[in-house]
Amino acid sequence: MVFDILAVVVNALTWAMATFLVAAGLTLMFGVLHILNFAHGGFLMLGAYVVFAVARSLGGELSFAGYLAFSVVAGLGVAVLGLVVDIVVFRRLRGVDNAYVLIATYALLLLVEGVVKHIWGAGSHLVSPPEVLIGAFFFGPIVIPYYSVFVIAAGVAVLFALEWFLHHSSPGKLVQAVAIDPWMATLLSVNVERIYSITIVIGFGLAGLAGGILAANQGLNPQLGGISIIQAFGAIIVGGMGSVRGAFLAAILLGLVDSFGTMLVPDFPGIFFYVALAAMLLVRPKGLIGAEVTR
Amino acid sequence: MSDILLRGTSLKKDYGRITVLKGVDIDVAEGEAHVVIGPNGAGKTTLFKVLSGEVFPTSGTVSFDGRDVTRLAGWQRTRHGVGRTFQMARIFKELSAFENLVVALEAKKRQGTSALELLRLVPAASIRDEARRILAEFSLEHVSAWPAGSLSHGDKKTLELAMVLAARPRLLMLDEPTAGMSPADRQRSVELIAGLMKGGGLSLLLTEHDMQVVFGLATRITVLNYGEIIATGSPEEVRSNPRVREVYLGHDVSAA
Amino acid sequence: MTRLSQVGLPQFLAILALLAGAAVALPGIANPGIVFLAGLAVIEIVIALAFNFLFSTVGILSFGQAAFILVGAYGGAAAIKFAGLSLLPALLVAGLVAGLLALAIGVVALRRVEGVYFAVLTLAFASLAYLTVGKVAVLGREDGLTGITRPAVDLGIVEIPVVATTSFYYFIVAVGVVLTAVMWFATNSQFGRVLRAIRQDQERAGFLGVNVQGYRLAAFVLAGAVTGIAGALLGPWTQIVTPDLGHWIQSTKPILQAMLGGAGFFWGPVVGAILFAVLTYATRTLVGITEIVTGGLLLAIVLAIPGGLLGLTGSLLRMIRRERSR
Repeated sequence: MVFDILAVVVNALTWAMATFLVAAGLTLMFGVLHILNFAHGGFLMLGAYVVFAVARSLGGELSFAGYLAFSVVAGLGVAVLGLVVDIVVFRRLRGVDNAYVLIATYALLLLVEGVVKHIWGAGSHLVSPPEVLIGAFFFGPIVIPYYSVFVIAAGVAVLFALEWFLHHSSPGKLVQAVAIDPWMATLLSVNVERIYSITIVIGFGLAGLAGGILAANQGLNPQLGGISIIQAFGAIIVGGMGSVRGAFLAAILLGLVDSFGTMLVPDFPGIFFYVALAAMLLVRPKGLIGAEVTR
Repeated sequence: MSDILLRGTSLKKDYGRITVLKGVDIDVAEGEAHVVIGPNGAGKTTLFKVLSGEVFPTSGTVSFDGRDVTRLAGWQRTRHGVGRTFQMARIFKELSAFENLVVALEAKKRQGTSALELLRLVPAASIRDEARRILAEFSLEHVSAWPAGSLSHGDKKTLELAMVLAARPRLLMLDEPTAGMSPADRQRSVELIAGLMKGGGLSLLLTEHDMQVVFGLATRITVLNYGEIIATGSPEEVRSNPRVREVYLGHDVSAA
Repeated sequence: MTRLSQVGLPQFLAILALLAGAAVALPGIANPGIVFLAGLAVIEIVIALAFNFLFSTVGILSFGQAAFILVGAYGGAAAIKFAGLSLLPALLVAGLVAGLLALAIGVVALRRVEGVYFAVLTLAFASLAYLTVGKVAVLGREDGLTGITRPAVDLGIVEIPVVATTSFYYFIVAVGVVLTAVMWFATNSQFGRVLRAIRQDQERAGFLGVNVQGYRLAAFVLAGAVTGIAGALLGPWTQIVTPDLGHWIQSTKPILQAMLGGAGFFWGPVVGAILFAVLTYATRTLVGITEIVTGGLLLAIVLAIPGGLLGLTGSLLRMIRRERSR
């Protein structure tokens, strides 16, 4: 029984970190620009397909270093796309009702889905993980897949990198200043527009990177963008929109609730995520950490 | 004690760790024009919000006409006979001035009649006539068809006042009714409000910065400073109160 | 009548009659495949009108309308299949179930004022409904309910059979006309006036004695019930209901249609739904192109022509008139 529970925890943490990888860039962009980017999942999917395409053109197998390197490349590529999207879309919608911005990001998601379908087809593809990540090891009697360790490590690494960026680097501190009060930041002669662009580029970069890292986590199909975004939305709502740490904690909480719920009531997998989401919002409507990126 | 219309008792309001109201006792008697003054940040607007039901006090009670309304939302207090305006006039910008009044009048009428009123396509003839009459009374007939958002600042404030009065409140709460007005508009507003008071049946609670307006309207003045009342009484009493002179009025009084 | 023309009742009735006439004439000139799609389009029009009522009149953005389509479709199908109800009571059941769900969701989600929160919350609740329905044994799990019949329309004095495809198509058009009228009344009556006032300034409305939350909830329930009734037409029309009716794509479709046609116009969602149906039909064999075209169009509309197709037509007409008058 105890081992079952430990196995469920490992499962939950893997799910949680995969969700956090998606949510990190999303909550950063919301905290600074108040844009809820529906297309985030789409660009993540694009990153995953890029890694898939590279792996296929190289004969299907990537080394661990190669896999990581191409995930970073996918992140950089998507980050560049982010700059394009900022110039073409987001800049024109500053000051427009949030509802329209949300609809615009949904349109972007549709576009990305269409492009992915058009290039790679509507069917499923598989990316095989690098050889060192295949298989599992025993921790006492529990089986822990290497890939889980990789995803969990990546999630924690992204958390620390973002926290360091926001709290200890000078551009990060400017990002925070803009998140708290853009008007005040303007008075202090911060170039708010540039900070917005930087945030968007980072947010999109994180989406592409997450796409690469998670590419081998599940089958690839054009629905992936929509599926991943809903889980990430849940994490950032429960965590408190705009809070990176909140999203991290919320992902773990939701992962645990969902995994244990599914263990106890196996007939309804995936439902406890939503039940927990609804319950959380009834108890704490502002989320775990009801604040901006800063706290 | 039925001649006290509105009474706030030991009102406290905290925003996080900041205490804005530190136990305020205030009342409005029937027929009086009670003006709350105080320097910026004294808590006038917060007191207004607590008394009108926009926010609830952290502790303390509010009663209206002998009934405890502390936990009643703003719309419920409005139905009991409280009307209020906002510092920045709030009106329905995309609707015409005429439609703004129609919405106000229909809201009042629905409280007495059945909800089937909601199915009406065209406002009732009585409502339309009443709206036109009120627009004329407040000299707004020339902007009747304009989108309310395009009215001048003064006309917006007048329209908002007309909408509030359309519900025939017993207590009228005005938050800085002449803020941002030209001296001429300001004079016009004072006359308008004074005229309303003469009509009887109406009590007034207002905040104001302009001393001419304050002493032109008030039958009683309360001075708020850092969330506490430091003086209350007739205009003469407040004028001669040394503490008030010290913290607030200063040379304004001699000017007035 | 001069007064009614001010609110646009005669224009509304004329346009409605015109559209209904065109829909009724369709089976005479088009093949059954097209008629089938037209029936679906009528249902989608009603769903898009209900969405746009929430978006443009009430001012709330729902990303979860699929939940009401889903429970309406299952409610209606179950009423026919298990309870043996005739068609009109089955639609009533569907409206009731969907309305109750809207009440439950609205009580929780409408407490959050900010639009984006409401959007995501409705999305989450709809996803919950979608997953739950797919796991319930009585409702056929992922396979859904099949073999849904088309019981007669019992009007008390007469029973009208609507088993034949064309007869049922006419029934869909009739229900569509009634529900369109309901949405128009909700938008243009005193009820709609109050809602528009709330959208523009809810504080002001509240301090005129309007129960803002109550009105928003009532509007949300009405839109949910209408969506549910429209959804209930799907079962007998396609003979099957599956959990996919609750997929979030079904929630975003009405958004797309309303924006394409012009969310600021009552008829915008109608134009958008028809345009969308034509687009989907025209690009049906090209993988991915439907998404690229609709996504691109939607983006162009949000960025450049927020009035949608009707808004664009309006500005073009004004431009031509100005040219002529020169």
